[in-house]
Amino acid sequence: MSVGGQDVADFNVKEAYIVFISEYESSWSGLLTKSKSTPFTLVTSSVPMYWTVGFPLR
Amino acid sequence: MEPTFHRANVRGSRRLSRDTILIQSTILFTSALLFISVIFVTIFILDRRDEKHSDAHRAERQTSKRSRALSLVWRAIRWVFGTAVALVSLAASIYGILGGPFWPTEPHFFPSPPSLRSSFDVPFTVTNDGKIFSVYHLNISCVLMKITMVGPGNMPVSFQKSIMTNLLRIKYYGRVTRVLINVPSGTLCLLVDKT
Repeated sequence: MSVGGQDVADFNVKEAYIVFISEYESSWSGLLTKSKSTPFTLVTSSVPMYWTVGFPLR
Repeated sequence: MEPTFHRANVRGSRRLSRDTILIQSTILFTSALLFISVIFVTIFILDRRDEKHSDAHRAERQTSKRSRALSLVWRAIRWVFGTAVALVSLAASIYGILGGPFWPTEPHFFPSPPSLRSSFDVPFTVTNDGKIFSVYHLNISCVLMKITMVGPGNMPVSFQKSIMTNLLRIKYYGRVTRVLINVPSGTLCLLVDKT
């Protein structure tokens, strides 16, 4: 993926937040169920960077 | 600044929100409680009818109404408390025997330990913690809520909403127990491997 003609891999990530949305068929109801995970924050202050659960305290 | 949540486009003809599941669970629990209450009331009425024909009941009729009322209240409290303790013990025992929740649970995501590779090259693991109820036809969307990146010339980059949404679509058909999601560096897309 490129942004402005430059590869994203060349950029340094300062902060990032992601969340997973899952849809699945539950066996107990047989219906399509939708759920959202807890957010994950990329901790950029450490080397190597890692993902942690939730938002960081300000 | 609070990150803005962008909802991914998800297709599906039948949808059941978390609130609907909560309502269904509440109705199920209330129905079970009502059923148990009806059983106990029936037993109580039958017990009272049997007692009417016994000598003990004739002796009890001579006591005051107040002491009989207190006796009934005390008996009801004992039944309710005993039933609650029995249900909690049963639930705890099943939880311990199965080694996890026996009720339907949502897929659980957790990241793997950090690596020295790209920050996005970290796999996430998805598990179904429920021990009885299975999850089928899992469809995962990874939504990048917010990202701030700095280019080679320390020039900040802002992403368009269209790029930030719907970066990942995973469709996995079958019974899901454990799925490993990997984020290859640079592409901001996820792959899925069955483990």
